[in-house]
Amino acid sequence: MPDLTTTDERALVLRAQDGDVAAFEVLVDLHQGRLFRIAYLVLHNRMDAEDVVQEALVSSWKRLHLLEEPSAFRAWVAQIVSRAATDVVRKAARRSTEGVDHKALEDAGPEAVLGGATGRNDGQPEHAAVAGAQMEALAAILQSTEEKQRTCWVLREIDGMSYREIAQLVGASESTVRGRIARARSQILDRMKDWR
Amino acid sequence: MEHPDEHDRRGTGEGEHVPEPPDREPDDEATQRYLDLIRSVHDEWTTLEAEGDSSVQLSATALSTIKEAVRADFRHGAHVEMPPTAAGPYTLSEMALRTVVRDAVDSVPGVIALRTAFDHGLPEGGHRVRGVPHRVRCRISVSVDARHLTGVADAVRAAVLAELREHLALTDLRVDIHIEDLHDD
Repeated sequence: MPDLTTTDERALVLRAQDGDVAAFEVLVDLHQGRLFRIAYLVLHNRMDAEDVVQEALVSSWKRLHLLEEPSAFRAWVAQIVSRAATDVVRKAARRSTEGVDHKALEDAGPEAVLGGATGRNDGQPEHAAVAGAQMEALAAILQSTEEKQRTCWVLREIDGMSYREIAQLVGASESTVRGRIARARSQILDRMKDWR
Repeated sequence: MEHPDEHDRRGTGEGEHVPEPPDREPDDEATQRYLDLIRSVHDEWTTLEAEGDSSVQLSATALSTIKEAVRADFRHGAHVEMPPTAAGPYTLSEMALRTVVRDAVDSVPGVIALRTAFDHGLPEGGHRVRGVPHRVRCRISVSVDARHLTGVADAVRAAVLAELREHLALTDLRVDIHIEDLHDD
């Protein structure tokens, strides 16, 4: 039995496609951190981010046979996570505009800000606590950017995706993606002046 | 971690033919601060993750939930007919068959099993069962230190044949080996 923790990623994906659960678990260990950070920065809510990543990774196991190019696993799984995170943000926004939770949010007071996109951390500050100070600061800044800009920015700056990959993922042109990222950067730069 | 735009600027990334937006002049002080921030954020996260700090990654509970769900969802695949024994016919799952082959391939020093495919004969037990395998195709990765790749391929073939003969009484089959990758040990 080879040491799977030192096996290259392409081989791990092929073995996982062959039904090797242990190989898939190594892939989970390798990617869970960055996937969590993508989800957290989009959602600004630890519980929602964990849910999104859990569902995305289990779903990627079920759909792994559909992945034709094993070396594309990294981008493929990031795509599943970012789409799921974006869906959560949009659903929360819809609920908010429908006014269903308006009264509850108003009553919740300023601590509700800790709840991120869905407010699920309300009253449970321990779940919102994030020791990574820079991540928390960035996530807070990102909440002021528009959701499409935020997602594109996170995929570019946090995951290192190319503009072309992001364009395919979000279904927009490359120039649109560049524009969104430039606007998000500009806002972050402005907010950084207060940060320092 | 290198910032993706630094990579692009050197002309080595896929974005090399696309001009940078005007707000990204490399000598711009604000841009440099921004790049420094992104770099330091990545450095911090890498360090914290390596230290097992749960603030920048999934909690142990979430991680274990994923692994349990994956194991629970493990699909055993189709039933595959094996040569009948004196006591009667028997089948085993496709995944069990793959595991036997994978273990045989992994048993050869310097070799890692990748994927395996089977060609089956006509089933006798109905349309929901696959027939006895008559051909196995093994995709493998071999250590770059291996001197004779043909020898390695022969060793893998022999190991697979021996395992299938010994454990499953499969004797009349062909094993094709495809060396797909070379890896560092």
